[in-house]
Order: sequence, then structure tokens, then C-alpha cells
Amino acid sequence: MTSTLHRTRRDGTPDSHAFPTRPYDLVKEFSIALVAMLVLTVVLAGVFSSPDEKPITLAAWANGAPNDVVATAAGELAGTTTSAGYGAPYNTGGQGQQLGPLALQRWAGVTIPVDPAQDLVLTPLSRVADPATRAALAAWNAATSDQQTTWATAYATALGNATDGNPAAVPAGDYGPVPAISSAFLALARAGGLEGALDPSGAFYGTDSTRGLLLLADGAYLEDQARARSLGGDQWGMMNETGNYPGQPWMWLYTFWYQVPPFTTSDNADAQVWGLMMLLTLGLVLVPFIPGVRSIPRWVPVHRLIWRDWYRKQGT
Amino acid sequence: MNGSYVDWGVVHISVANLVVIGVMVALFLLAVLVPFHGPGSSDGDAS
Amino acid sequence: MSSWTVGLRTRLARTVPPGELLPDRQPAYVSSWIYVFGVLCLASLIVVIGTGCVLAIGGVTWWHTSGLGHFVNSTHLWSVELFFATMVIHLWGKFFMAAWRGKRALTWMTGAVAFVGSVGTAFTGYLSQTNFDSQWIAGQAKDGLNAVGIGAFFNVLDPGQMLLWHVTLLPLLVGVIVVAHIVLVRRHGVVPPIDAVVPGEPGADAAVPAPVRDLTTTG
Repeated sequence: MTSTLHRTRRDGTPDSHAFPTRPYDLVKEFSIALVAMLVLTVVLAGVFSSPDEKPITLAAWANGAPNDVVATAAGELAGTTTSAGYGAPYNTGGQGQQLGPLALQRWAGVTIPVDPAQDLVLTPLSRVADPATRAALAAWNAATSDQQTTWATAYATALGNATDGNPAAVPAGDYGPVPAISSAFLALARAGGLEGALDPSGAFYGTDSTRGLLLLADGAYLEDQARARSLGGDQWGMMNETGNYPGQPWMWLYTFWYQVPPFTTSDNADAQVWGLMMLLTLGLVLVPFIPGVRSIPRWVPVHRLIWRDWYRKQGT
Repeated sequence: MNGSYVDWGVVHISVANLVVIGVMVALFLLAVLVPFHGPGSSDGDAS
Repeated sequence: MSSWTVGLRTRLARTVPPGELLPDRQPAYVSSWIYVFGVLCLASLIVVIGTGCVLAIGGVTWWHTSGLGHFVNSTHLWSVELFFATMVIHLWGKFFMAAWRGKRALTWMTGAVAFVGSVGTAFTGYLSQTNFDSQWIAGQAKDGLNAVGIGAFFNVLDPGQMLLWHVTLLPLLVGVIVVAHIVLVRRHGVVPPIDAVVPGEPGADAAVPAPVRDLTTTG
């Protein structure tokens, strides 16, 4: 292959402006397209509407799954919940995920500090005036850190072993003030006292739902509701919407990896899938430069259908 | 509360999403196959 | 001292060949229904933005309590579905046309980046619903983003932050990329068919098949 061959007209895509043309109204076409899409949108909206399932309030959670709330409160105190062992950006309770040797999660640091036991359970409860609750909190705060962990872990374990996780079915044991704290927490949640009580600013205006969502996610109720609607990660959930509505079909490849090994059992699945998708996305952007991929249009000649009028006229 | 889903091997897809994707593929095929007769498409003048 | 104004004006004027910003003629080979999906996608984007603006009039939670608000939300949702559907069909068409040929690599790349940016914008939209769906999506998405450190500054559990990204930052970014994409299409013109030869040029009437070659951006 010599350089002159590369410069001949046959090897280059000709200038589109050198071809015969015909009249065409660009603005009219755009206007028609705009009206068409507007009409289509209004019709689809009128016929199908859109889903709107109410958010799960902490009160609804407490009334719908009280045992789950008690177990979650005990778990926060024991440091066994997802939040407690999450790591960055919330705390140093865990190492977080790695993408190969890259500990990106940990390197990003704790920028949204959340101490689950304190911020999600004890601080909201400290605003309750009930004497029994205040006494339980005082007993908790007076104990050593080791004692606190021992009590909470014992109670959380006992709850896990009890039928339906029912606190009433828990055998007697040395749980310290943990049962009282957990039950007071449930009562507070049931009464609606937790709504807005977890906002980090503690001020009047709250727009940050970080703590409330972390608490909800530490329980089983939110996930149970989601999985019942095929929204779970291993249910292709990223693509789905509640009810019979189309969701996000364009997320198919991102969520696909979560359905297959090794990602189904990997502790670093999130980091790995993200890394893989960044690579594939880069590949999509760089298609014109990838040998083989950029030649697929020639091997799968859909273009001969698209431009059949032209090819027929030109005799090629 | 759950919508209708279709299962095929590892694939678990909502009927709604399947319909959307099916319609898209159908539109693509139609767009490529249906003859296009725009104004003056049989003759062209050099610009 | 050279004029910055003249410099910018000259540069802008040269971005697109004279008369090609809003041409009233198109190449004769533009003769397929596949070509309408680009403009349908752009039209859908206008409807997405428009319905979004109407939603903004009522505020974040308007659609939960108002029948009209709910309808407007529905128009926003369905215009987004139409936007993505037409975009992907447009992408399929452009791929099989190898539309990056003739120095059009940047057109393809801006299109792909616009797609990715749109997915991100839609994502922040889903996070701004203030309902069960947004609660779940936030809880799930945080794990993916935290795993790679992005969650440290982009907090999906904070609707206040997510909403502002959704209605200002990301639409602006996507808007700029879309404008660049369209300007590039106008600049280079619609890509000629694969193996097309300008009528009257050598080889135009030959029955000789085109040499098998890689569909490069310079080819």
C-alpha cells in the first residue's frame, strides 16, 4: 500500500456537497416532527399516565414491619447493619470495594459522616421526654464501648433467633438497656416522630434524605417491597419501573452483568461492573477508531437497503 | 403491585419493556424497508 | 492589535459552509425513512425540556397532589421514553451507515456522549420523583457510585442536590453537546453512501466492485 493510493478519490469518502441535490424544507420538517412528538406525548400520557407509588415513611415502616424496625435499631447499636460496616463516604466501619488494586471508595474519603448508632438511633431518641427512655439512654451512655457492643450483639442475635423476630419471643438475657431503647425507637417511629428527625442540619429546612434512606435501607422492609416489584439488583431491577410501566430499557447492558458470574458472587461487583461499563462506553464513543467493529456495517450490509435508491440509480 | 414479567433463561424482562424494545426494532426495520418517495426524489440537480 | 470580535466572527462564520446552517437542499442520496429519527429525537428533546419546565412551575411535589400536575409528569415521562427510543434507532441507523466516515468521527463521538449524558440526566430525574421508586433507586445507586468514590461528592441520597443537577447542570451539559453534534452535521453534510462516487467522477459508471477496506474516519 503506497501513500498515493490513500490519496486517490476511490479511497476517500467524497465531499457530500459534490453530489446532486434536491429541494428540501428543513424548518418545515422540524416543525412537523415537533408537532408529531408533542401529540404522541400527550396521547401516551393521557392513555397510560405515569406511576407514583407513595414513599415509605418511617412510620409506615414501623407500622408495617415493627419487628424489622426493632431488629434494625438493635443492629445499629451492635454495629452489624450495612451502614455500620459501609465505610466511605459515611464512616470507617468497612474497607469498601476495590476495582482491582484501586481502592477508589476508600480513597475518596469520609465526606458524608454518619455514625449509624448515634445519628440514626440515639440522637433522635434523645429528644424524647419519656422518663423510661431517658433512663435507658443514660444507662447506655454510662456503659463502656465493649459493654455496649456485648449487650447489643446479644440482643440482635436473640431477635434473629426468635420466631418472626418478635421481641416478645426473645428469651431473658443480659441485654442491658438495648431492648428498652429499641422499643422506644419503634414507638417514636410509629408515632411519626422520626420523619424529618434525621436531617443532618437539625435545622428547619431539610432537603437531604441521606440518614433516613440509610436507616430504611438497613432494614429488610424496603428491599422486600422492591423485590416484590422486580426492582432488585439480581432481578434486572435497574431496567424496571413499578407497575406495568416501561422503565429504563437503555440500562439493559449495565444491569446484565449483575445477573451473571462472576459478578453475582463478587464482593466488589459494583466497582467491577462500573469499571466494565466505563470501558464499554468508551468503546461506544470510539467506534470509528476500533478496527473490526467499524467494519461491521460493511459485513452486515443494512446500508444497501437504506441507500438502495442511490445504488440502483448509480448502477453499483 | 408487580407488573407482568417474561422469563427466558437468565433474562427476566417486563412486558412493558419488551413491548418498547419490540416497537423500536419494528420501527427500525420499517424505516429501512419502507420505500421513501420524498419530493423530487427521482431526479436531482447538481447544486 | 487584532480584533477579538472579528476573530470570533470569522471563526463562527467558518464553522459551517456558507448557506449550510439552514440549507434548503439536501443530497439526492438522502432517501430513506431512517433519516427522520435524528430530527424526531431532537423534537422529543424539546418536548422533554418543555414538559420539564411546566413541571417546574408547580414545584417538586406538585404532581403528587394535583391531577394536572400528574398529567404533566406523565408527559415528561413519555417524552423521555420517546426521546430515548428515537435516539437509539437513530444510533442503529448511523452505525449501519458507518456515518463516521469522511472526517465525521467527532459527530459520532458527540452523539455517543450525548447518549451517555442523557442517561445520567434521566437518572437524576428518577432520583427526583420523591416517591417509593426514587427511594429504592437512590439506595441502589449509592452502592455503585460509592464503590468507585463518586458518591463522596455526588450524593444520590440528597434530593436537593440531585434535583439541581437534573434541572440545571446536566441539561446545560447535554444541551451544549447536542448543539455541537448538530453543528457538526451541518458542517460536514450528511455522509454519502458507502462506496459512493460523485457522478461524473472516474469510476462512477464502472461495474468494478469497490475495494474491500476498513471503514475508517479518513476513508
